[in-house]
Amino acid sequence: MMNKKSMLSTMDPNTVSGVGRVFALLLICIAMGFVSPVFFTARNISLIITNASIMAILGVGLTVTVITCGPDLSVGSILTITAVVAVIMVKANFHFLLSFAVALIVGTSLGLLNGVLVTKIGLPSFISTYGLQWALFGFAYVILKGYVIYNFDADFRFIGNGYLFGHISMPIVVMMVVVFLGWFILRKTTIGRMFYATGANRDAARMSGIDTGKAILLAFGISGFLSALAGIVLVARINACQADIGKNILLPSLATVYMGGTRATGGQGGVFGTLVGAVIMTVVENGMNLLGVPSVWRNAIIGSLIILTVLANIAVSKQLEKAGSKV
Amino acid sequence: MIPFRSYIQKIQPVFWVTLLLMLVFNFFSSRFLSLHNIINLFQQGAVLLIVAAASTLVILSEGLDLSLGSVLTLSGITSVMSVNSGAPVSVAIGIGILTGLICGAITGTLISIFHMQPFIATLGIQGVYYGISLVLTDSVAILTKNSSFIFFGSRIGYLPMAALIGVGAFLLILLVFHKTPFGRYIVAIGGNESGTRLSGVNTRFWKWFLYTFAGGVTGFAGVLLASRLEAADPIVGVGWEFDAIAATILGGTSFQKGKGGVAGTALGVLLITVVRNGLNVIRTPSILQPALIGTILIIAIVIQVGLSMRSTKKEGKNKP
Amino acid sequence: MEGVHTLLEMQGITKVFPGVRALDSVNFELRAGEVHVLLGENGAGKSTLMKVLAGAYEPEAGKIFIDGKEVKIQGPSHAQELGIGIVYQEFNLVPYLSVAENVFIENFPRTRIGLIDHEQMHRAANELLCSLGMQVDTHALIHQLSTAQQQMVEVAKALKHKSRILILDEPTSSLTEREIEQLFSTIRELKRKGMGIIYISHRMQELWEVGDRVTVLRDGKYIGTRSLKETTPDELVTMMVGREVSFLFKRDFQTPGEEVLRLEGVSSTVHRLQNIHLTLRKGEIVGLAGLVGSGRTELARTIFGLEPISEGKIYLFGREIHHSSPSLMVQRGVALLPEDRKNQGLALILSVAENIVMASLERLFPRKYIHKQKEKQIVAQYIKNLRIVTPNQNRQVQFLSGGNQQKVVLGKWLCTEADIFIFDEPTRGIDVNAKAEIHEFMNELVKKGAAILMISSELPEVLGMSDRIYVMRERKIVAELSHEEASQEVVIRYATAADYASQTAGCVE
Repeated sequence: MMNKKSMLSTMDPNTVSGVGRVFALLLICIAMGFVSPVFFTARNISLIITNASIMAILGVGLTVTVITCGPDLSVGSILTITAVVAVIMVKANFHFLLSFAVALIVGTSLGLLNGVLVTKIGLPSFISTYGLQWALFGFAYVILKGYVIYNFDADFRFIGNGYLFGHISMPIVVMMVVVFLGWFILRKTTIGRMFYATGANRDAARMSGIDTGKAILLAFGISGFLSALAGIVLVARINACQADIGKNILLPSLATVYMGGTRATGGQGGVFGTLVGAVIMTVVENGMNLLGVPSVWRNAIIGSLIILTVLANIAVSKQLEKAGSKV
Repeated sequence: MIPFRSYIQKIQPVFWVTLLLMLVFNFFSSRFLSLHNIINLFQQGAVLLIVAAASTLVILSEGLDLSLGSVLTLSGITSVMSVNSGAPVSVAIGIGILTGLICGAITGTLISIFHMQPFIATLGIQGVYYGISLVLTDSVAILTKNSSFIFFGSRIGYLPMAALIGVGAFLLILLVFHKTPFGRYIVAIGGNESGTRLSGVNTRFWKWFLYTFAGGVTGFAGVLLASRLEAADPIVGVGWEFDAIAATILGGTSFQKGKGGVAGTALGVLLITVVRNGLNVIRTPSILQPALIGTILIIAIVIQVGLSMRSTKKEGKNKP
Repeated sequence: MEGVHTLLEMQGITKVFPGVRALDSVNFELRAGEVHVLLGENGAGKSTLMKVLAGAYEPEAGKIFIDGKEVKIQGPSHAQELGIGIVYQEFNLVPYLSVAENVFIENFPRTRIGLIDHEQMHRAANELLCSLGMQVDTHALIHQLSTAQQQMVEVAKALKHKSRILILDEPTSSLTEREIEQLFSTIRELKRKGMGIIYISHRMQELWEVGDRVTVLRDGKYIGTRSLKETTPDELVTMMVGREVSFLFKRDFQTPGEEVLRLEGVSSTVHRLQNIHLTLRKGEIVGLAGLVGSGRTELARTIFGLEPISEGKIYLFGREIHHSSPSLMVQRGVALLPEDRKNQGLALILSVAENIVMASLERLFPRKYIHKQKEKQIVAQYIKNLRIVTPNQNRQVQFLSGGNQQKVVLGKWLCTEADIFIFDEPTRGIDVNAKAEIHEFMNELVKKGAAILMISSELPEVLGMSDRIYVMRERKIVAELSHEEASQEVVIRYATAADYASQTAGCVE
């Protein structure tokens, strides 16, 4: 006879919580289907997945930083400034690919700057990244001077609203590539192992000969790069850019990471969880729209979601520890 | 006394930079050091002084409160709403403070009872408090015409009310920090939490109480801000928590071991206020200001932290 | 002795931890106005006995009498009320509070309106410290004080409840000679006032300076009590060691090969290490003996590049090492198995497999791509060879037993195919079987040509396993002994500096 606890203890904890998350997603979807007839329409589903894509791209970068040393709280501002750079360049008649490249380079450099502030200056990551965002939002504001830039060329917009092979929306393609690469780097390369080891126990990692400073630098670099990519896809999709485009994106994308089961204190988690988290997050937002929840409630709901998820994660890992220690 | 001297030494660079900035601003615009503008400085700095003091207390315990800006907002809204619905001013102030206390108590519960990391808990709860602010105001600023509520902008002779209240509240917090067991337990929790618990102090309670207290203090600041602006705006507090953290760091408080103090934070607040006000006075285009201020603060923090890291290294070498 | 007031009597104290009888019917007695030394090797049960007295542990059996009346100690604060004060080896002080604030932290003197009465507090603290013969500004912050002064503050803190029994746990372990003198004069002063002091120490030479009687514990058992006037260091060492050196494992000794590691006059300001000379050859195990705090772990960390050296040279395989760092040392084939397994040796939330390959990522997967199959095979091999008990490779290490965790650390370093292994307390806190297995693995390693530097506080382990032994005391190497020269008595003498004169063999200084 096996009781529930010993069942839990024999399974890989990641599997247990992963299954739980997908199950939760299904439950939410079914509930949504009951309350809103349009929820399960093909149009709505594809809308959800497309919207989830941008969240997931950002979420992958956040996942890497959370695993390694702590969330990059500047993702929203890097997204904004790089989007601004890209649209300004393309409006100045630079080739759209060049504008993408410059935006990605700017994003990566800002990410590396975050890494330097953490590893060389010794600022806690949540201070330096939180602080940097105010300056970056400020610069975006300086560049755009409060105007909205809109209406870009089809070339530029393709990455946001185009379709590959006529059917698959581009944001989904980009997202799938990013998630795949994120999974590959984290799970299949020694770089990923460096990230996990650094986040799980920085002392032990260092004493195993791992260059933890390099790992942190790299993690923030990746996060900066993906923030820029998310910014490009976002402006290409909505065909407009203004200085507060990324202001409200940090909380929901951080929520996707925690919902995806990545450990708040680092060392555990992965991008597939984040993908599930991004879909849950988008379903919740979509649901709020369909149900006519006033948009003013959005922040409160997302904030509560973060807290409840982290609390739930703490509770689950305590249960698993209890179950595991009994074997 | 030795500790005080080293403390002064540590924040000396901030002092000189502030002085230099004042001279520079005055060079570009002689209005900067005018009586009128100095009064302005006090008015603008008073609210930040109070919030930054609260933030310093939290950071001294090796904690962090990113929700202070949202608490500032929410408590301003509840107090303006109550005064607009006919409540006496004293009750409105009380409601604002109570709002802050409740917000802080929730945050404290998440951190000290449920062991959430402070920055995640307060980042998440920040969303909730802003959310509630938006819901209460339906995203629009609420104005108030109640003449006794807007006391904060008034003056007693030359003395602005704001300066009196701001400095008064700051001194009170300083008193709490140095002269009450609670104040000392903040340093103890930051410096050696487990040792303090073994000495028989209920560190868990005091940690909870700290966030509650910080919430209450910020609630009071929120009322003052609403009183000065004669309105409650649902996004007025955005970014205040970072100004408060920056003032704390510039004031010589570190993130570790309860090192630092509340007094130095006043200097950090002065620097930030001088920068903000000075940029205005010398007519920097307002569009440039957020970027400039953000960059200046980051650089100042990097310099301050870098300098103090170097001095700790030296200290370590001198030890036998 | 007639007419002497007995403050404390402990009878038949027994304390059982899972699998270990930490205390087995131990007796102890303390008189007013005496310093009673509690002596024993690591793990003999001294600290456990004192924790029972301080209310931190509840004993399974036994009685405690204070002033002849039986008491049941309910917890730490009850112990304080009964007049028992304890100063732990690790201080409970707050670095950025003042001396006075630290003394009165859990019960500040208050004014009528509830504020801290600073005047009263500083006066009381000053009186307390003066009565201990300590001159210190009570306004000074703790972090500005020397370790000795901090300890005095702890003593003052322990004594403020009108305590009559004071427990000092290894009080001299991190003090300089002069500071120890200061501590001793304080102890004598307290004695004169009729306090009973329980003094836990390893250091033989100081016992006669400060103690009146001594009780020796061994393996959780009461061995005997002597008056220090009527006993000798030799007798005490014999009482402490008791048994013949029991070999846990029979090593195959062999002629060592070429030199792989050499330290020439290495000093470190960070760790206060002074002028260390040390060599390590292929195929030998070199023991590093010494008391806790003598600098062994610090030496290991310095060799491994975790902290810089300030003077001297380190040669690895005959080549001098510049700009050392852990990653460089790992690349060059050095392994460090730290004492603090859970915080430094393992990433507890990662799996057995992830931990085992953690230090060999670049060696195993030079193209940065992790071949899952290859990893699985390698890990399986170490799990099998080291007989690690785990349901599968993906098990989080935190769920393994202490012995198996240590084997995972060992596996991690075997996987790097290192040539030089530094073991810091390799068998601390693991059960007897796993211990023997670890010793067997170490034996095999040197047979295959590796070199091992082993830090251990367990003398039988050091003596049984080592080809040569360096003894450290106060951050210096004070002796180098061959396997034949070394015995428990000799090593303890060097480590504690008891009776230096009678020893001449093998001293490097």
